[in-house]
Amino acid sequence: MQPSRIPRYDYVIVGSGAGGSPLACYLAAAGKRVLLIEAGRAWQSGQYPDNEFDASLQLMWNGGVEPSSDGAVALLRGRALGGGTVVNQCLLDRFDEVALQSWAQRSGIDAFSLAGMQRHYDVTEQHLSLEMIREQDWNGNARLYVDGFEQLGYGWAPLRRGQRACDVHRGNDCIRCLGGCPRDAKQSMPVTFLPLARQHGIEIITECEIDGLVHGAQGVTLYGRHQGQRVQYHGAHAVLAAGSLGSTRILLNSGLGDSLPALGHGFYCHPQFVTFGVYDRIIDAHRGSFQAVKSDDPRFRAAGFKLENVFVGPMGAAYLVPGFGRQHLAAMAEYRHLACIEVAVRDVTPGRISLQKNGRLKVDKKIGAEERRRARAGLKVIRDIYRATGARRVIESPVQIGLHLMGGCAQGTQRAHSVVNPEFAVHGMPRLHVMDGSLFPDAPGINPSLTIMALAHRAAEALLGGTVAPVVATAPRIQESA
Amino acid sequence: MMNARQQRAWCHVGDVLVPGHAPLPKYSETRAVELIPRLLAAGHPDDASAISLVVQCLRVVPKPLLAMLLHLVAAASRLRGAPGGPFRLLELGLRGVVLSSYYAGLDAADGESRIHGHLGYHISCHTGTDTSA
Ligand SMILES: Cc1cc2nc3c(=O)[nH]c(=O)nc-3n(C[C@H](O)[C@H](O)[C@H](O)COP(=O)(O)OP(=O)(O)OC[C@H]3O[C@@H](n4cnc5c(N)ncnc54)[C@H](O)[C@@H]3O)c2cc1C
Repeated sequence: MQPSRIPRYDYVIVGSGAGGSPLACYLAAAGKRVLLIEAGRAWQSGQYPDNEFDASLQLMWNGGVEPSSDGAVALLRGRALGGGTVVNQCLLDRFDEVALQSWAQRSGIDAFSLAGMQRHYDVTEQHLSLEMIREQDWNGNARLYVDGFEQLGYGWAPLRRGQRACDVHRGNDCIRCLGGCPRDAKQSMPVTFLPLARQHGIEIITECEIDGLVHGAQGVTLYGRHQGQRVQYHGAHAVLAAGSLGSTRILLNSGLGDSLPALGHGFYCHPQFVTFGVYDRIIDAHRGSFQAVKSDDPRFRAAGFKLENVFVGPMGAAYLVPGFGRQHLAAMAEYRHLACIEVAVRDVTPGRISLQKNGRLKVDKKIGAEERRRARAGLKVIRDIYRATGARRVIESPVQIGLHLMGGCAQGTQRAHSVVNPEFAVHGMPRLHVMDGSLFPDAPGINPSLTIMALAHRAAEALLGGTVAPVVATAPRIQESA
Repeated sequence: MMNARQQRAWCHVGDVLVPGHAPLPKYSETRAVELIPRLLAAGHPDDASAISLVVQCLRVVPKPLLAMLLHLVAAASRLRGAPGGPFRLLELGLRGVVLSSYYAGLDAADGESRIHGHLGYHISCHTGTDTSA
């Protein structure tokens, strides 16, 4: 064997988001030599872009939005050290029995149950600061949402967010965190798992995009580009944690589409149907904790949707408000008078991720009849809420957004319907693993990232062959002065 | 970088999409067009070339006709499935680029966006040392 072919790392992990960073942390804490590769760049919290434009361009793939092949859904995914957790809203919910039962059924993995996942959630949550958004931090949009829910007799609950001391009462506006949190309050990977992983010795390479891999008896070779240069890395094991689109793309690009019949199938994204209510009074939906409460009604869960109390900056709002010309400008001029509620649909029509002839990613994602039915049911409730709370006008966006990108490398027992086995190895490739949202066998209808982190704990136990305890910070080394 | 001709073409389309509505200025009265090269460079090069070509062609279409055309594109983009696909992608390319650059809040050299000012959009985030937006 040539020296250069000897695996240097025990694990090479591609992608530093909700799946990759926790796994890197657990493996490094267990004494493994870990290399973490990330396509995006590393940011200090004080350097994150301070405007929506630069945040989109510099922290997201494709400059902000990747449309599905027929333009029906605008997909968003983070590209930075920390992945989606840098740009997301960090709402962290455990899955319920409905979601896990459906997974168990589809995947044939019995551990997908409340009892089976509890320990993984428990350990994950020990690494995070989780806070319920308090009523005193609600803004006008949240108050109106709750008012409408209560008038109409629907259930709601405060949101649980990964955050520490956002100090909204001091005038901080959390909408800024969608471009990276400048005060390290949001519990993204660069604030939580990555510093721990660093303490335990992981190496990190950023601005390096992996294009493909070769799986061999001794290990896995990954190839890609690092700041314009062609590069290769070798690991005894490799873990793809590049997200639903990223991991699927790497496997397809490595020519594994034929041997893995389920590869690229079963893509879901919880399509969001956004609406605005226009009020005479000022709502200031962008201020403070811009997302504070959620629908919590079994009727909505059974009907396959939830209603989200949410908002966007001017760039996002302009894109979502339909039309153009003076009417559009007039709607935008009322920005401070806009409330916003969206229907997030638990989608059941699977999409498909594939590669075009020129190697470009193609995502076919239809909004099927069932998704439209679910959306209509949610939109009716929203119109009722706006009416009950005195909206002058309701604006429904024709654009559907997908923020929760899931599936493509589903986990399961059968090769015909899945890509990754219950031990997190790609079927027939014991040294190649996947650990990110691409594993999802279907759409849970619940925010995915806490469960992706919990799966990373499950994966660490599978790879290390034993129980994995929460990772603790090592004692800070005392620097001797020169 | 964009040459003057390309800038004029984008402003032509931009002024139809954003014709101004007091107090909001029309597209060409802002520096929004200067942001477009960065926006296009962040996406796929094939998309950037395609949309630039479309905009160059639209440059010669009179504004009233262009407005009609864009209304037709918007209507066609609501067609479900594949038939509406090209129109939705065209909308994203034209409307998406123009509106993103206009509402970016980077329209003023001194950092005080006139457009955000008119919308009443100001956010703050107090870090340990600074208290800037
Ligand atoms: C605006 C927004 C708001 C959201 N809000 C929430 C929320 O409140 N709650 C919630 O649970 N979820 C939310 N999500 C979704 C959540 O962030 C994602 O589901 C989660 O981050 C996915 O984790 P992942 O590990 O699968 O992938 P990611 O976190 O996307 O990480 C994948 C990483 O791999 C990198 N990568 C991709 N391809 C390559 C390659 N070829 N080479 C090297 N690196 C590569 C990417 O740059 C990225 O950093 C939100 C998402 C967005 C965009």
